[in-house]
Amino acid sequence: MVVTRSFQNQLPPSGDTDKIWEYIKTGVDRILNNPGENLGNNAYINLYTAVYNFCTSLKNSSGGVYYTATDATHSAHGSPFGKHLYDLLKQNVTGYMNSVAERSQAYTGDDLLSFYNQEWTKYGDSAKITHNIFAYLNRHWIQREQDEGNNVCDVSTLMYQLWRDQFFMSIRSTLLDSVFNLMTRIRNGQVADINLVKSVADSFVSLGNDDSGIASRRMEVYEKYFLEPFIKSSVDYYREEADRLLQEGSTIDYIIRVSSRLQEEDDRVELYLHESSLKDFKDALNKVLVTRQKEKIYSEFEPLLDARDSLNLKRLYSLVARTGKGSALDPLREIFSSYVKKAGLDAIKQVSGSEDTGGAIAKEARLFVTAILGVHDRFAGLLHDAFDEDTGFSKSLDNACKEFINTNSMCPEGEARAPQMLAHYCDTLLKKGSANVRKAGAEGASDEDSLEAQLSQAICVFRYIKAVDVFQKFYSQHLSRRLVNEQSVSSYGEEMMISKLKEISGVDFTSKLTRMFTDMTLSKEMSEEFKEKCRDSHFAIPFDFDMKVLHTVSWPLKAPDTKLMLPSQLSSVCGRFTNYYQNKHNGRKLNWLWQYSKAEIKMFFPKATGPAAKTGYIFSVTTFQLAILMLFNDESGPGTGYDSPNGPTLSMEQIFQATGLDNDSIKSELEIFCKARVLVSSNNKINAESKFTLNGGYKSKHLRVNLAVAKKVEQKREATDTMRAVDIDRMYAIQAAIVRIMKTRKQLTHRQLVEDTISMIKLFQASISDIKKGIDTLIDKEYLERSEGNRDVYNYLA
Amino acid sequence: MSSIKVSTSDNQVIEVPQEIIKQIKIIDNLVQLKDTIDEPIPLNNVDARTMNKVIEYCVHHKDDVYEEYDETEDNSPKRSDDIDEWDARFMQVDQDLLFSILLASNYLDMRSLLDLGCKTVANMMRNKDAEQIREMFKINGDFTEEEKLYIEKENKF
Repeated sequence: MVVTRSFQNQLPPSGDTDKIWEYIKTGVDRILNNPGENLGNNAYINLYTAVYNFCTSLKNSSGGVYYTATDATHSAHGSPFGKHLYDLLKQNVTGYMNSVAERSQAYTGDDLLSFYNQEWTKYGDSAKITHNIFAYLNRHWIQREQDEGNNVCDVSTLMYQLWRDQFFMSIRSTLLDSVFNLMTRIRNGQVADINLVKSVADSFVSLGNDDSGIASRRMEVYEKYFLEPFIKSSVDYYREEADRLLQEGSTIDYIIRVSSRLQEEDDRVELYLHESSLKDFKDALNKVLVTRQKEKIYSEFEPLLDARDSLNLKRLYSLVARTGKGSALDPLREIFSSYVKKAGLDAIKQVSGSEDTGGAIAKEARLFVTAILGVHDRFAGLLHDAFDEDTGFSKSLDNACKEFINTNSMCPEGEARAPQMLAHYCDTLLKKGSANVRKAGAEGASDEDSLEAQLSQAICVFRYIKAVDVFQKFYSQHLSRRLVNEQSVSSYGEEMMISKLKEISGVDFTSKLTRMFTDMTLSKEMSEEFKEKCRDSHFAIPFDFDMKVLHTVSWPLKAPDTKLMLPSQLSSVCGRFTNYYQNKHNGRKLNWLWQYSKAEIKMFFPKATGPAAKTGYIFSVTTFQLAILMLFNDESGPGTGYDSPNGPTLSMEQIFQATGLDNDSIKSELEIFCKARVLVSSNNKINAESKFTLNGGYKSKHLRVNLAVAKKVEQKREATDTMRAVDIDRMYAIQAAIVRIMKTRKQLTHRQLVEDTISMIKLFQASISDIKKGIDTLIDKEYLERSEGNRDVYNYLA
Repeated sequence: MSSIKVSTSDNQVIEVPQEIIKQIKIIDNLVQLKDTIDEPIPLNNVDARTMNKVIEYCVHHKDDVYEEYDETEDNSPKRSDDIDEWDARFMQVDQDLLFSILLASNYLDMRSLLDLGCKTVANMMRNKDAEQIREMFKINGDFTEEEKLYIEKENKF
């Protein structure tokens, strides 16, 4: 035990180096043993002065010349007293360190840690004060030695070296054992003071490295003597625990337990480890607890998906993600992708067999999209709840959706049914009178909000559609219907849908759709103008009249395939409009699309009773139907006049004569009339022998009856027509792509050309056989030729 | 704390204004280490005459900007002809005082004053041979042979 001598302020006279050292030593001992006690200003300055005097001495205490020629070779600079003092200080502090080491023998475990930390704190203060007192030595002798490249360090560093070499190294392993012991207790759930570990770790950091002072090796002592063994002991601890857990419980239990274990360690490690080593420590634990057991952990993934256990899925994901977001997660991503795909296919299979579709595409489409959304939302939710929106998982989900949406039990490979159904679904959302919207609207949200939400869902499915050109065709078909028939549920909804499609697929994709809206606006203006013109020329239109002028290129509508002779009431107005239009736009051709036109007529039946007798029935009819029905109103018609109280009786031939409609059209309209019991057939059939007359006793629960119903056959035919149109467009797109590629490349091999074409076409996946057909066509049209020497190479012909 | 008192080797107490303390490094170090300094600080190696001179220098230079002195970057030989007018006049003192100031600036750890002192002495020795210099500084040739040898070794170029 070092006894602290009371410190005297009396400064020994300069020149007497022995006395001066005696004086300095007393001061240094006092500082080492009691750094906290105020040294006093005088003592501080006097010690500094003593160091100064010692260093500037010329002679030693015995009065003789201190340095000799031989000494001078040892110290080339200034007074040799610098080195002398440095050695004396080193010797003195070494003595102190040894005494500390000796005292430490009395302690073990937490007590040793406490002792170490206490001494460490004290020593830190001592080092600082001593360093200042020896400022003159630092400034001159040490500085010069360092400039010379000699292995001498400043007083503070010297003192830390001595701590390390004389004390720390001797108790290092006991100290670490105490640290491990304490950590084990904490990990076992016992109460212990983590700060003891922190202080020890901090001291290791401060102890620096070897004596070179190279910054990059500053952490060497800490890393070599603390971090490495510490990590090793932690890994040992957890390896044992992992083995035990897996032996005793299920893998799920293991995942739960390890998740909370690692969380504990994460929270705790920041309290005591140096920030530079957090990663190494965590990596080591991840390796022993997660990577080592990864096969077992992976195998739990699918059962958890089955159980829809998002909490444990989150745990599992987080565990694996700890080991790196890259390859470690890939096996999970793969499982996830095929799982989603299977779930999607199953969901669609379930609805595709269901009875209540009855073949109606609208219903089928709704079931289809609902099934998709159910699966997508479920796994998108999981992505958010459990997988931290991981981009890899997100990609897996997208890929899986793309696969199961485009090809499944409802959509056979290569038939592009998915885009058709989605387009139908959009139609049911946007068409007036759709049960779909009503239902959702009832749940509190406003109609517009719920429509927006549903359209967003449709868009979500749209993102996965491969043949978007098919969707485009069908969508524009439906849109044209909605616009022509004024059946849009809201223009807001229509616009929103268009802008969303534009966002995803670009302006080209929606330009035709947009132009359809423009036509609608222009038609409205034109209609007003025409009516005004009529008023100006005192022509009274005998009924409500409205028309729409539509650009042929933008609208997927065809001219009628049958002739029609209009009833006289109509033809006068239509003729007038044609004149008006031709005057306005000279040279433009106007085709009347009667098959899309509609009318409302009011009919009075002779035997009607109740309100129907007074007001009549209002029928919504097509123009064809109108033309036919008007014949039965004709008193001096081509029939036999008033041959019955129900008006004329007409044969199919007579109807044909009067309307000019083709037989098929007449037949199908008569079918509707007879089925609705508006007309009756003389032989209950519809053939050349039948004669038709108005059903005088017609009765209906409703005063308003819609006869302009779409026929299923027509719907089917329309779908086929549209698909054909898609195929034609595709051929053109393929040919255009080939020409564009060949124009720049001039010469290409067959394989290269096919590859380039496929990658250029974005709207759909071009099939190789279609590309081959396109190449053949272009060779016929002399855009391309086969190379003379090599039949497998094409040349571009300008 | 407006000023700090120091006691000199000839037992005089002198006040050092607060604003110049940072220039006198050993006092500055002490101030930073201690909360209160009430007793005069004993500067046993400086007499009152020199201390007053030092304070005069510090007061004049109290607003100077101190650049961090970095030896590794300054490899050029030091110049001795860049002394400004005030400093030159300040150094026009008798030799005893000149050397006292030199020693004091070293002891007190005042880099700029030490540099100024050294430059002044260097200028005095310029263009003079050893004998003249010995005469000027009244240095007796009383070295022992051993001492001479050491000095030679020490000053080898």
